[in-house]
Amino acid sequence: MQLYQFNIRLPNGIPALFIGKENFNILILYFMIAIILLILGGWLFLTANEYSAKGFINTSKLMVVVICLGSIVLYQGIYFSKFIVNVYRDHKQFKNKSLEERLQILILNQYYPFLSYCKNKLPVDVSIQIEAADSYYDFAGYYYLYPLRRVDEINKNNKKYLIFFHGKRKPKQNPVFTYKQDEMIYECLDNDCGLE
Amino acid sequence: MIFRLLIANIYLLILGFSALKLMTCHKFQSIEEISLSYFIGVMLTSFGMLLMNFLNFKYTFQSLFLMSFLMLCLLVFVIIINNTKKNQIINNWNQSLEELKSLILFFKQKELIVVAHLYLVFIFLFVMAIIFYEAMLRPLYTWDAMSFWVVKSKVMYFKQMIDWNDQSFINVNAHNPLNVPLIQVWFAYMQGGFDEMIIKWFYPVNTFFFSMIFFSHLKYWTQSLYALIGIIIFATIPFVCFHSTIAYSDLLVCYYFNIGTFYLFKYMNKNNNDYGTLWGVCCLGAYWTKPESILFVGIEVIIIIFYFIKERKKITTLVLFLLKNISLFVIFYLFWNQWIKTLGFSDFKYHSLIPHIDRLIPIIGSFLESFFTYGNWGVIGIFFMLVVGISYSKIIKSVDIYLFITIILLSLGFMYIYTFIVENQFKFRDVSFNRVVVTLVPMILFSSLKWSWNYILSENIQIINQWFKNESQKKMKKRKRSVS
Repeated sequence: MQLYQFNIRLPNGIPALFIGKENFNILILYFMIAIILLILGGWLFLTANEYSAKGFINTSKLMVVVICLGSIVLYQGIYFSKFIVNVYRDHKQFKNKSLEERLQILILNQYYPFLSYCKNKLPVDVSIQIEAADSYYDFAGYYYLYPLRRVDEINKNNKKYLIFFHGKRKPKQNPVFTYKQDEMIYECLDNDCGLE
Repeated sequence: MIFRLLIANIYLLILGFSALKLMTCHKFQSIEEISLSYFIGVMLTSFGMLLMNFLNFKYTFQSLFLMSFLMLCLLVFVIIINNTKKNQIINNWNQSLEELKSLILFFKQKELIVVAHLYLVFIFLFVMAIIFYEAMLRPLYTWDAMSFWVVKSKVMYFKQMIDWNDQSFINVNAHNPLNVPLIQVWFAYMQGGFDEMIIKWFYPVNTFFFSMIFFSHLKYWTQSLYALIGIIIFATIPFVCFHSTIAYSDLLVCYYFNIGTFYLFKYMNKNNNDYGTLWGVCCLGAYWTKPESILFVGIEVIIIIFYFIKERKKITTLVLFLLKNISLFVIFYLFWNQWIKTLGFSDFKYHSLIPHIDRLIPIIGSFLESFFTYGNWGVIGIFFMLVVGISYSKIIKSVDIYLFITIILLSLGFMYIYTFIVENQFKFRDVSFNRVVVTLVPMILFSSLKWSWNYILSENIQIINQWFKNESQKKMKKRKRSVS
């Protein structure tokens, strides 16, 4: 068995920018919405007679719709503001970057350089089997290494190269990678690669 | 590359428009017509590519261009030789011009309501621009996109065919229909290469065109200002924002199905056969995108039967309606399932044969969580419940009851279907449930807005209009004073 070894030393991952997941206390949002709804409801309640005098029908039902629509607009307004902030962060991070650089910086973080290494090292049109600690790496690996073929997992007769990647993602931080490991590619000279 | 992509999108619009004109006689609103054309164009092109595969043509730029060109020529030729269709298109064109003129005249008015319209249009376009920009900023990185939605496209792009022997192609959800992967291959060839970022162009475009259809339907039942508020709410739903920037197909199936539902509902109100035809087409589109749509279509067929019985229509009318509109869907469903079985794939590895009733409590919990909590839909679920509570007596007396029953049956259907899912998939129920329940969201938002308008707000609308007029008059007076 011939062994290629690749040592990666990569910096810690950059936090993922998912909507409403990090750096934001949802209780504050609830509190703000409750206060605004109370003010809106109170104001409508106090002015209900005034509206009735102006000819409005079903003031109480009108109140419900206005409060609901108000809360939806408020709620989604806050979320969308956060989304805009994330887009701005992404813009700063990605501007003037090539596709490769973007993938390397954020998307597959430490894993992508290893995949690029594999792609450069391996011959074209061979079958590969990725053995990773996390199935996200499996899928990402097979996706970005294509057209290197995925081995037939049932027959395993066209297996040619094994790619090992041992790191695990931190839970609930998809897709942040924060480990340093030695990774490697094995070329299989026999069919089982010593796996079974 | 962007220019080629724009041309490709315009082609899809023209192709879909020709097909729409051949299928229907009705003059739709221009915005609705354009958006519908896009969804039909996408479907037709991917079907064309499937046919190419059966005829053993390799996917290359030349072959796909030729296929697209021939398909368009064929449709245009049929329109040209059909005098009725030709005259209808000319008439519709004149009507569209009239529509455009009246729109320009409306926006030329110096009234507060016009400013309100312009302001809301600006907000909507801003929201869409942000979503577009985010989709174009990040390359492909999401789980399902890399495991099956886009990897299938990548395999087909490099192999220039549908390769059922490639492990990357068949590894996950091999039984899934190929609308999205095929159209992505088509876009990749049209734009001149497989680009991990540009490939995501398709997803925000879908959201934009669906929002247009949502707007035109809501405007039909309410008013344009309210409909504009509706599409802004829709486009800023956190789940819609996020899923429009990643390459998942859950939103596309939701769009096809909801467009179909809107037309079915319109059919029940107006009895126009064209709406029924569009419902059938959208059902086919939904199934061609994701196989779960069989549940949605099944429920709608039950609703139709219920509608025909309640309206005391003849059974032959029901049979003819179903034969005319759903036969294409049934044929394709049977064909696809048979073909997939012949190839040795099925979705049964994800389903057990007996329901696990003991799972009902956690399923209901997940459903309520995804429906009412802040994470995905904001507070739309609560709005819906309140509107239904207030106007329940009016809903059950009108055709709106069918929309209400559709929502209820779909919710129950989702919960029931999750009792069949195998254990290793069931543990991901919170994530997968969100993606299934997304199908309900446009329908829920649409019905909440429609009912709140029809049964609550419209009673006060004259006063609101009067308020707008008074405000604009006050402003005019102020201006005159300041000028003098």
